Amino acid sequence: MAGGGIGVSYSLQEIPKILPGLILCIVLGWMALQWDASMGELRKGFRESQAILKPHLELGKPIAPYEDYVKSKEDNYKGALTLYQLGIEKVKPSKPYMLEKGDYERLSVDKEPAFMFRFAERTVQFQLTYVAILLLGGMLIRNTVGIPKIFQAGTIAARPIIKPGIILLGAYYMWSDVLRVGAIGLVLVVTFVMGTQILISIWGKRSNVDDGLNGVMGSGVGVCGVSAAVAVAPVVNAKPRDFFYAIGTILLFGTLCLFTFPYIGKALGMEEPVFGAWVGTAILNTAQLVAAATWYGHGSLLTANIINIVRVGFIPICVLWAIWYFVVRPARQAGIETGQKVSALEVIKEKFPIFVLGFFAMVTLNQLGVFSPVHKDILGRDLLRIFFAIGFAGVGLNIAFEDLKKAGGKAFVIGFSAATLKAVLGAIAVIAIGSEAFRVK
Amino acid sequence: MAEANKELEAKAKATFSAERKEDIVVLVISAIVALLVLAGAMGPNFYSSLFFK
Repeated sequence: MAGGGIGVSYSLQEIPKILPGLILCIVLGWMALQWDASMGELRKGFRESQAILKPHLELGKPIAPYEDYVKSKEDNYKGALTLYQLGIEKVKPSKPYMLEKGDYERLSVDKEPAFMFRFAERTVQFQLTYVAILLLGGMLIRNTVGIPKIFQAGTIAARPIIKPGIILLGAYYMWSDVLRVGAIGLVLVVTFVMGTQILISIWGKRSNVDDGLNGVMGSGVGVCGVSAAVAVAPVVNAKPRDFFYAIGTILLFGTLCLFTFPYIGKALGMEEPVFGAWVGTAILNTAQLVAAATWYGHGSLLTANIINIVRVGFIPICVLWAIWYFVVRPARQAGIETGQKVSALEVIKEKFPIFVLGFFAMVTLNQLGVFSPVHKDILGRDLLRIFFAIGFAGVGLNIAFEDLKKAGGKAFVIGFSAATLKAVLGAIAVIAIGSEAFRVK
Repeated sequence: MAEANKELEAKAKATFSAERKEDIVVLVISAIVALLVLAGAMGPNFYSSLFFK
């Protein structure tokens, strides 16, 4: 996906067809966000319990009665509020979180946080956020009970709902961030993404893989998954079988990345911006990339988003490369006039993903000071989560093992190896560059 | 074979036309949402009001 709307078109006639699946994704998205909200509340309980226990465990102080605990909390809040009203503190204090009486008394006796608080804390350690719930849950549903036909079109149509989230996230950036991270992203994209396409094209030619399969695999694995493969397929005269081989490889690789990269990133101690740069370079599909980055953290998403914008902007260039490498160059070598006049401007106009312009508009509005910090949080955190949750539900429900099985043959080996090499070299490069270069302030 | 290729070409064109349409829908939705936030119709409590405590 730069788009991901493959198989469904947004038109009024399609609404009855997509509505049931869309509603299903909205409901699943809401349930996952409710899980996150509940776990968030419980985690507050965990942190509060630890704060209460700390003086007791470290200094041997007794745990105060509940009434004293409440009074101390309220006094602190009133004090902070007075400082704010006097203009000494600039940020208005929020009401303090307090344990309920039953939880507090259990804590006094057990000397450890309640089971539910500990459970919620564990969900963070295992990164069981709404992203994981929707992707793993959706995949489980799809491959066990299946999705009834009535829901199928809607679940496909739900995937691009991630895009408004990507656009709204623009409210968080200044142009200086976009240009700084985008410039490094451009170098990464040219080096790794276009490099992969060129590597596959040459390796495939030498291994006598059909031009059609080779071209589709190169652009799909190199640049932007399914969208790039669709764009290049007619240029290289890909057979439908080639197309599905390539799509199978792209989806299989993306799915493996999606579920393993967040854990690999943690294991390698990657900071959020570094992880964002890595997934932006290595994962082939916008939806999967955004999901993995969101799974890791907001800082990771902010970086991954810029690199992804640069990457999807490369789709027209990838098409132009395929035209040159598979059509114009062989024809010239054979002394044949292809008769095809290729207008670079036309290709760019036709293939450029215009939703990116919305992102740039949001960055510009932020630069002009249109958004207050509150607006930014509503747009780039709250509403983004709503759009992402609906989209991720669609992504999870569309990870079908039978699609992944379509990957195969020599081109699969080449495509998968090149994608893995890109991921490994990409990880080394982003770790070497370091988090400060990728951080969105 | 030629027919299959033509079919794929038609599918690619249809997909890109659908993606363009999809992008326009996405831009419109984003613009509406941004305006609602700027107008104050969606405030800081909007998100938390959607969920049970």
